[in-house]
Amino acid sequence: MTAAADRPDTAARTGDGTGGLVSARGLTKRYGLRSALAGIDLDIGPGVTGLLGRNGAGKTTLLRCLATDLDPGGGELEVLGSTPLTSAGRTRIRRGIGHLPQNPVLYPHFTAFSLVDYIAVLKELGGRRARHDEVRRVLDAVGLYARRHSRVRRLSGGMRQRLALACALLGEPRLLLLDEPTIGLDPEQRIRFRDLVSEFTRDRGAVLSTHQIEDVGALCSRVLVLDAGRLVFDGSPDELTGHARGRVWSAAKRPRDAATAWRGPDGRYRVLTPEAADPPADAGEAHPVEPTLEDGYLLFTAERA
Amino acid sequence: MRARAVAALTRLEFWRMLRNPVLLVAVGYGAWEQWSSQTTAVMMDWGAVVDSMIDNAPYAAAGAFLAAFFPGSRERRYGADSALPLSPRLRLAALLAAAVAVGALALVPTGVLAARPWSEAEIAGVLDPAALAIPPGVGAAAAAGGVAVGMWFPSWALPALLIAVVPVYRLTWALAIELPAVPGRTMVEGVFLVGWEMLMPTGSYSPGLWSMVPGHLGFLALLASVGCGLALIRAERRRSRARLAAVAATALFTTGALGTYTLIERMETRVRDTLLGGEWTAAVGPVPDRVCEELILEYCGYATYESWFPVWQRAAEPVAAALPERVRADLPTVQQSTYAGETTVGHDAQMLENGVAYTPAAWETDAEWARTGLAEAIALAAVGAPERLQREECTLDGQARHPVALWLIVQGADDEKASLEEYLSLSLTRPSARDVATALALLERPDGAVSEALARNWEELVDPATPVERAGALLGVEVAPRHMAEASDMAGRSWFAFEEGGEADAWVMTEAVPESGSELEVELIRPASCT
Repeated sequence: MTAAADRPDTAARTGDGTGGLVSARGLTKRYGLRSALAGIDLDIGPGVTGLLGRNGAGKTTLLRCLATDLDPGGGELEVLGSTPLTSAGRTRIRRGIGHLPQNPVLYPHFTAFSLVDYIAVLKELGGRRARHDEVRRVLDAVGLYARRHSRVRRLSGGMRQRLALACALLGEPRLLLLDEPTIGLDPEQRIRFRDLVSEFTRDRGAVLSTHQIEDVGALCSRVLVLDAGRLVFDGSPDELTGHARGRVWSAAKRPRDAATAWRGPDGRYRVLTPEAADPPADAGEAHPVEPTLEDGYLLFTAERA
Repeated sequence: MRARAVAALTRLEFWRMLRNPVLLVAVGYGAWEQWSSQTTAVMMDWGAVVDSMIDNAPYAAAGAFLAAFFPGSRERRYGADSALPLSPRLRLAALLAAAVAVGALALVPTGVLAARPWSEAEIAGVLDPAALAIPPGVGAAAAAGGVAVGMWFPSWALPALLIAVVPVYRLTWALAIELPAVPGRTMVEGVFLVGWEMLMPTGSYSPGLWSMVPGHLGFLALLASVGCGLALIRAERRRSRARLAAVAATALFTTGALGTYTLIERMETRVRDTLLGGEWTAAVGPVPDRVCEELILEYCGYATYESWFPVWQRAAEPVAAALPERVRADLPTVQQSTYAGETTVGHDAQMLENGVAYTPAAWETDAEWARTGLAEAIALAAVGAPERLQREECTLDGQARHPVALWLIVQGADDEKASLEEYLSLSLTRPSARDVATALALLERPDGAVSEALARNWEELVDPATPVERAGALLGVEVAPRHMAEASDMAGRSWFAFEEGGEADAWVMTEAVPESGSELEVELIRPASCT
């Protein structure tokens, strides 16, 4: 694990030929008096980068800044080698990214096909035939091709989410920005989503903001944790998991000084302790268990609460 | 890349709007209205054709407004993700361009129908091709307005209300005028009139008032620009430079539209005043050449209107042919009226003026009113009736020349008695029962015999001092009680009833009162006998 503040500048700067997609230095964003991003330093390259954090930690703000949907308040930001501070730069970035916002806006009276086609036009995908082929491709990729003639308002929540993903996938963007993409997806679709994103990011990048930690574990080679607008963890999922090693117990009782604990279906408590030590004294019979990514994340955020 | 994307988006929005069922229904209804409101029996000139196009424009224009409203409302309510290369501003520009194109296209079917390309009847007059752009301009302005309204008031309550209003559009005049007790009448009338004025600030283009076309087109272009400006204002962020620019441009367009509107209204008044003087002058537009044709009477009109001459001749020549040859030289010239709107309603009080019989400009070839109107002008001129008779300043009542005039008027009719009855229902000469009875007796005599009698006794018959009682003897007919009964019966069915004998000081007219179903008797002061 490497604390974000201590992490040295990587070579993955944008546009330097190493495949860097995003570079942020001291990135800030304020909403009135509240600081949503408080000096983020960040480099993102190919592969899937998971973005974790509590509600209000700044994940969506960061993604919207990367998507040029929000102007950064301060600091430096380059996405795909362009700055979002100029109109031309924003346009170049928008041509290269696929953005799935937290609350995607989908015209309810359009059919699935016509909506994706409309977005394809807005993405400047040229040539009617080529555009339609691309629309069919992404609809097939998200498993909605059979429902292409259905009105959006007739689709279920999960289908709409997949439709929004299809819109984001249009034009094979170099960088995918996914904000809570698996909300409303059934397990089968989540597996399909993981496969899709994994396939997509072989030679491209994706930033996945989510509360579904198992998605991060399954997809991401790198995890970022935001807390109150600051980047507090930047490492691999294994490193985040390792943060909990020796601090996770299966106990008969809930100890008073646990960082966090919850009762499982077998009636025993899963206890996360602040320090790696002997089992808590008031936990009754307890034995250590193998930590998960979720344990690591929970411990990390609990320590900062 | 960007230009291609904007073009693709414009095409996409265009086809989406064009497929809107509301638009298709509105265009279909407008086309049906256009089809059903026109008859091949009306002699048309290009001015009347353009008027007809504009008259029927509101249906398709309302459809275009609604078809453009929905995407406008959509952009406001849902506004797709802004993190896309094509900015919201460009998207709106593409939407407005598509809406304007759809609006213009929506007016094409009614325009084509108004021109009646299938009809063999020749359209008289000269067309200013720019005038054909007015109906599409109406549609374009309506569509731009639709986007603007959708952006500002995205609720679907407005289109629902409009959709409810459109089917009763035809009843609007009835609501506004014929049923004064309807609640909200003033508001309906006001909305209707404002909408109408926005579509057509001028009164009429017939017979060819093309001088106002550039003003009208400019007005519509400015109106469309106002719509676009309002939409852009709503789309821009508050306190942005672009929004300020849009506000300034919209204010400029609005001022320009109001200025143009005032300008063309004044121009219209000036042109109308000129036309009411009876002359087609350069103020109206290029003055066409005058063309004349001489049969018994002389027929004159403007070049390109020659196809109307035979229709006038069918009305006027039988009257002239029934007259003694020695009086034919003094008959009036038949001349095309230079203005349309004021002469289309039945008999025109100003039809005979300074020895010229003016024709109604809009002439229904299968209706009696136009034929009898022209025949009346010739007949009254022939019997020496003063032109002030037409202004009801004197009457022929009780004079021998009155039944002669009545007989002459119906000479060109297929059914003379029916024609006489229809004529009486509209006539301003208000004959007495005795006059009508004598005319009925004349109709029973062979035409040749009556013409011979006219030739023998013409001077005495048209002498104002010769009473109607003497006409029978001079024309060789006897007025029987059945003639009097039939004349009274005819009078009872006409819109006014006249006093027996024609010697009373007042005419009594009965008028139906629509609201109560009762009849109202109105007394008119009987003018002095014509001399």
